[in-house]
Amino acid sequence: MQHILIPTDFTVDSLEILTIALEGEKSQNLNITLVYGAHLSSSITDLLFFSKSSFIEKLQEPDFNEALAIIRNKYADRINSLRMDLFLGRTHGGFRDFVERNGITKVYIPKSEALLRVDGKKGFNLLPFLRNIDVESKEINYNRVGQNSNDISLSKLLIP
Amino acid sequence: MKTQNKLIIFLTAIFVTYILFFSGFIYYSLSNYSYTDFYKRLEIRAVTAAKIELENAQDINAIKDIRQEFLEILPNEKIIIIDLENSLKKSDIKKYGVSQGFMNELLENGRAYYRKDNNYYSGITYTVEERKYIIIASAENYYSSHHTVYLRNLLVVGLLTSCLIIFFISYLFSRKVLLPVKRIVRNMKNISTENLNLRLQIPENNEELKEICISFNDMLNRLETSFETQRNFVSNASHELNTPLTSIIGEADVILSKERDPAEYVKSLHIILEEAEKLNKKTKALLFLAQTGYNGKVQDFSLVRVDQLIIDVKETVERVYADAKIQLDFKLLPENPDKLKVMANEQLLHLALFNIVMNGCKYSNRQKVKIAIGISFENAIIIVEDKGIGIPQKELDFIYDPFFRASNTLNYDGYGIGLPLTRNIIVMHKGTLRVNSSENEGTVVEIKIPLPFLTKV
Repeated sequence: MQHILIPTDFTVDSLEILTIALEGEKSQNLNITLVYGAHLSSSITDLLFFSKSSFIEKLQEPDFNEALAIIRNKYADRINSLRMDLFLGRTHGGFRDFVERNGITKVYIPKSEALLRVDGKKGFNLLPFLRNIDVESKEINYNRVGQNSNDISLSKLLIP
Repeated sequence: MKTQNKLIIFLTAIFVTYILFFSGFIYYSLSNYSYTDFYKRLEIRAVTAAKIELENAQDINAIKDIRQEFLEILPNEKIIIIDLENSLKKSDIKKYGVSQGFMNELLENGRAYYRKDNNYYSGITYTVEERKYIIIASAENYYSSHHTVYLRNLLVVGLLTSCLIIFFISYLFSRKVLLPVKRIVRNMKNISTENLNLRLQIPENNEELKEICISFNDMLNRLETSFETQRNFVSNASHELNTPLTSIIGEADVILSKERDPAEYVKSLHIILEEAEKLNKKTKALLFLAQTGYNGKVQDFSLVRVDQLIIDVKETVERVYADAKIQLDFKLLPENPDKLKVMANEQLLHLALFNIVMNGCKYSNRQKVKIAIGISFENAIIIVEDKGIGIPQKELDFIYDPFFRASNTLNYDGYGIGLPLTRNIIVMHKGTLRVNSSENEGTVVEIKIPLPFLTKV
């Protein structure tokens, strides 16, 4: 069973990588993990009340879940599981561990750098980490539709 | 009765009752105390008298001095010493002015108190050298009787004064409490059918009144919308009825322009019949909309397939604008077609989508209009995008006002009714309508209609 790792920045735009991956994959029963690289805060109270799900929720664009649901409905038969995760480490070794622990078999990497929005304080660019692991990887062309001020972000997904 | 008066009476009654009880308690316990105190004073006198009269010790002089110095003479003070060796006769008892019960109690307990009118008697038994005596001290209780009267007067005057003060305070209080209500009432009176756009000011720090004001304003919103709908019904109707009519006239015009085969006549008559039926449906639906206003309840809701609806809309638009370019994008449709069904009134939803797509075609001069559907877990999402003239940013807030037309639409026909009507219909379906636009670049319209409960995941 394939387990695919896809970098995300929790914008509707970035789900294009997911659709490209789903179109490219032939096999059924895909497990998919969307991953975001984040720094843990060094404040003790922040750590005490740290919750992965609420951290992810804060990063998500308003329509992100709706867009994700559209994609899940579209590929309902092929997606076995889809989850979102944070990589909280700082080293390449740590990331290799993360990949191994999650049983990742394939990773999709966008060709051009800096297309994923990386929130300066909270997150960091995962692409160098993704290139440095031993599993099968596939580079894809992902071009952000453009940072227009359109606040109906679902239109970017539905009308490319 | 006015609430203000009720408040005043209620507050005053409560406080007066309370003060009445309070002063009654004080009066009662103080006069009680003064009686006991006076009996004690008499008793001390009886004891000193007994010591002076009956004992022949040498320090009698000292006691005498003390009595003279510290015990003032009470009004009508009398001290009676009875030797119990001589038998006590009833007539004697009467002579002393005390009752038989008092005597009995005195002999039994060695101490008794008695009161007759304002004369107080305090008696003790005293034994000197095996001889038993009775000493009765009596006096008029001038001070305490006067003190209690004074206290009573004081309390009555205090009660009356506090009554007045409480009345005044509760008057001020009730006025202060009811002032915002009065203000609201005054504002409400200013609102009539001519100026339904006026709203009540919402008070900052009064939660209850805030709620009242907010619900009143909400009510005004609904009223205004339904007034608006009623008022615009004729214009709405003409706008909406015009489109099928245009199709019918266009079709008839084309078919009559030259001689044709019977088959073509039949085909075009079919189209005309279809449009006439639509006209009929729309009239009914519009009538319905006007009757039910904004938050109508009775609608024929049934399960409608969104993709089918979009295809229908596309066909209808293409019949009106033969050169319309409408591109449907169904690539993100869900695998399970059951999820495409929403609960809707087909005619109305058709009308709503038709308005949006028509606007897209009209204001882009028949450039390409893209329609896409996506189904999430909660909503069916329809996106309509055009590359038309757009809506100026600062006018976006007014697009749902009936008859409002953006400043850049002068060259286009229209009444400014389609979009408000569309929004009414979408709201009726518990959905949301979002419009995003930038001038000269195009417009994106997003319609979300909630999926029926059963098909949700």
